[in-house]
Amino acid sequence: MKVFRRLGLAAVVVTALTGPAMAADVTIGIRSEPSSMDPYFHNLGPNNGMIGQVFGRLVDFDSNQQIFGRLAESWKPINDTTWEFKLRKGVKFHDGSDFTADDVIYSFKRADGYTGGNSSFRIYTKGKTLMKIDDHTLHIMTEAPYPLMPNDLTTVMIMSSEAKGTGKPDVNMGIDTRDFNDGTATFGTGPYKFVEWKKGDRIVLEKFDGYKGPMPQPWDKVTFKFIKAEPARVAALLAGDVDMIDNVPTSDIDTLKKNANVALSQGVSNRVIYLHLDQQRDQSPFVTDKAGNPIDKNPLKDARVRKAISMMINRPAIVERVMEGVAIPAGQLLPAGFFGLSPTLKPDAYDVAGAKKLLAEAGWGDGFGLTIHGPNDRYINDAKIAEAIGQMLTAAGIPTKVVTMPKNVYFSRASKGGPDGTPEFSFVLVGWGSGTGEASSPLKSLLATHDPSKGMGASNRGRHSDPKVDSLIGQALATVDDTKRAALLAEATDIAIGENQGIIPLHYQVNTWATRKGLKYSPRTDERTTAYDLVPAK
Amino acid sequence: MTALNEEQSSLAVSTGVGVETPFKRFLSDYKESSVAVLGAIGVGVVMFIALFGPWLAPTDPYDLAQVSVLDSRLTPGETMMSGATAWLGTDGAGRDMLSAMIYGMRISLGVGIGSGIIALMFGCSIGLIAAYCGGRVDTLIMRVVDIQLSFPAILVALILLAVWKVKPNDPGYYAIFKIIVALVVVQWAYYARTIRGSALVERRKEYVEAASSLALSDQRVLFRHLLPNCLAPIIVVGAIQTAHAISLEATLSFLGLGLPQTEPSLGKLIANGFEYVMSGKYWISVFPGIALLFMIMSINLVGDRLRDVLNPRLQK
Repeated sequence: MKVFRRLGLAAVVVTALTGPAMAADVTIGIRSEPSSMDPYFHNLGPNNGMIGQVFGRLVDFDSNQQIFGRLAESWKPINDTTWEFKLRKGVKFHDGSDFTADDVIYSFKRADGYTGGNSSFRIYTKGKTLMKIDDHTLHIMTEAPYPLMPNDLTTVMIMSSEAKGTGKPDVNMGIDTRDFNDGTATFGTGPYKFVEWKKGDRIVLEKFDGYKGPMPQPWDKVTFKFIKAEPARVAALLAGDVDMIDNVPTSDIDTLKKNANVALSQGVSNRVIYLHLDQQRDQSPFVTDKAGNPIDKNPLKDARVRKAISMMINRPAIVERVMEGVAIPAGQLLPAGFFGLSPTLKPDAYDVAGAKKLLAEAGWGDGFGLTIHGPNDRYINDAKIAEAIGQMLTAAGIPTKVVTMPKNVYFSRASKGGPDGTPEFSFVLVGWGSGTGEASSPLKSLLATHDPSKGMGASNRGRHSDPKVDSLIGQALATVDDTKRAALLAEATDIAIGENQGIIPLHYQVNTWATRKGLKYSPRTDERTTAYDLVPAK
Repeated sequence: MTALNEEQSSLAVSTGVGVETPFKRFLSDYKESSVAVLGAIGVGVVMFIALFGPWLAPTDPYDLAQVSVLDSRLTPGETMMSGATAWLGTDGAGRDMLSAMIYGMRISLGVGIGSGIIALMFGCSIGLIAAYCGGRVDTLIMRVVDIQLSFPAILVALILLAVWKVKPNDPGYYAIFKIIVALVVVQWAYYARTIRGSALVERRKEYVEAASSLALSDQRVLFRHLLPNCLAPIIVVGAIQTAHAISLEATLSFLGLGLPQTEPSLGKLIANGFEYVMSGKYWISVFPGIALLFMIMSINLVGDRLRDVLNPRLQK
């Protein structure tokens, strides 16, 4: 682990040294505008990427999700339940105040008690007690051994304890979200300072001259322009309005490859695209007979039916024809190379005859009707994937309707749109990127029994539940030994997906960025688009 | 005005050949513009395609079992897995563009005419009542019309469709029904205002007074005497509004509201193709675009000519 850490740091330092000597501005066209500049308002990819350039974290991920120290110089467990972090000295916030252990404690307090946000960082702050030893030494204590401490700390950003806001004093420490959005409180320790945010148009960042830390500062001024429409983003790059774009549409990759003025960079992401199936309700609202009439049994509760559905899906065809080759068929939660994977689990082979046999064994040989729900503006080609699955299941004897909707409507309905805040749909298309860079994050959120009080199964929209899986995840989270923890996570995956088919993995996303010639972007597995990963090519 | 019309018609009868019914006179007036005749032929073609679509289309693009993603993005003229030729290419989901456009035109025209007829009936009844009753009823109805017309049509339709959720196990036609209702809501006020204007003029004429003095029921006076004499402007507004409804439906579909993903109308087809615009796969958006343009232009040409022919002030 330690060697990896050093390597990651070395890589970052080397990129820093090869940066340009001259003043330089850069404009980046991004698909998704963040929902806030408040570091704790919304645990969302676009937010974490954008705000992480202005605010530092104790430790952070490099582009391959290897951990390196950012505001912490070193860290180690000093006993079973305590981690010690040595903080970097001489670091300043953008408003000139000094960075100390107090700021970390303050930040955790605001993140932990945050109210009114879209989603919370509490899953990462929960159960951790912070204690200041001196200005630059911090102890973090947990009740049980907690090996994932550094991974958790890559999520929580650190703000200044001296920040002043205009909100009510008893809400979020008196600092309102809008104080971050207009720059009143937007002072971090990151390599870039916040300049302005024109909603719906752009965010402008500027190099912080007093920066101390490992991140490179290749640019003096960085402008992020929000260009939501796919062809418009490509057109902006070709016209020279922007120097780089993210989320290059798969349909344009071939054309851009042939263009000598454009350079592409591509990388597998930590995001798996998969299907949830309702395993809780006896009468599931979108499971019908073949003619579309309600039925009083829910076939999705039978693991054989779930397996059969998985076998009816032609993953290579989706990758080739829908994703235009830019994706990897998936059989588990993370692509090869990540920590805690099952060594044996492969994507289910396309086998309609075998699937029909399984269905007949389960007593559903005559088939039934389904509706697949999915977003149409969240993942690469999401609506088209849903439609392709609709085609494949219909052709295999499960007539499937396809309903897609914008993400801001979709996610709240998929998670809590039904009666009593239950998931509204029966069969949904979603994606999950592992925020911790290993398998416990998706296992905990997607396959552990849904229990908000324990922070388990938070996004388990199919309500898969197996005590064996729960206990393996629980053991893994408290196992310090890396090899043993990896084996436990692999076993949990083998049972939850291999045996139970709790979810149906489809493919791992591959992300593509395009820059004008002369620039180089290191593709990030966490899908973030940041200024410090963009450097002039030699 | 009536006097003038009578004079004209008597003139026509005295100089015309044979017996000239009003319909024949209308036809000969209409035929004076060759562009309008082309428009009428266009409308005929569109109607034919819409009525006989399922027999004309090579495949059923809405049957998921017949569509395969393996056929996606074929260029015009390529052969699909089923052996059929995709004359206009296929879209990103593997639908034959020609079939998808034929089915899309069915939906567009059905939605346009369906919503037009309902809005016409509803709007005309309300407008006639306003004109006939006058006074407070008139003021009240016309203020509602004013408020309705002050909102942009697309906004009202968007809000309606966003608020009105599809419930579990709703039948397939429910989505179309929703769109038609949304379009009726944004259109009825045009009809109400138009018919009220002409009804106010007609109402003061002697024949209405005569009918009333015969103690005929209000209903009979309204619908048997007043309405037929107000029809000319309504026919014109109807044609223009149908074209408007079709383009509104296309806009809503383009924005992703309305019909299901697997049953694209023309607007949805164009939206799907929009994603491929930069990659040179022109056929996915261009062909449905041309079809939509052709439909709307044909209807508008007919509507324009109808306005000229039916407007007494423009008659030579």
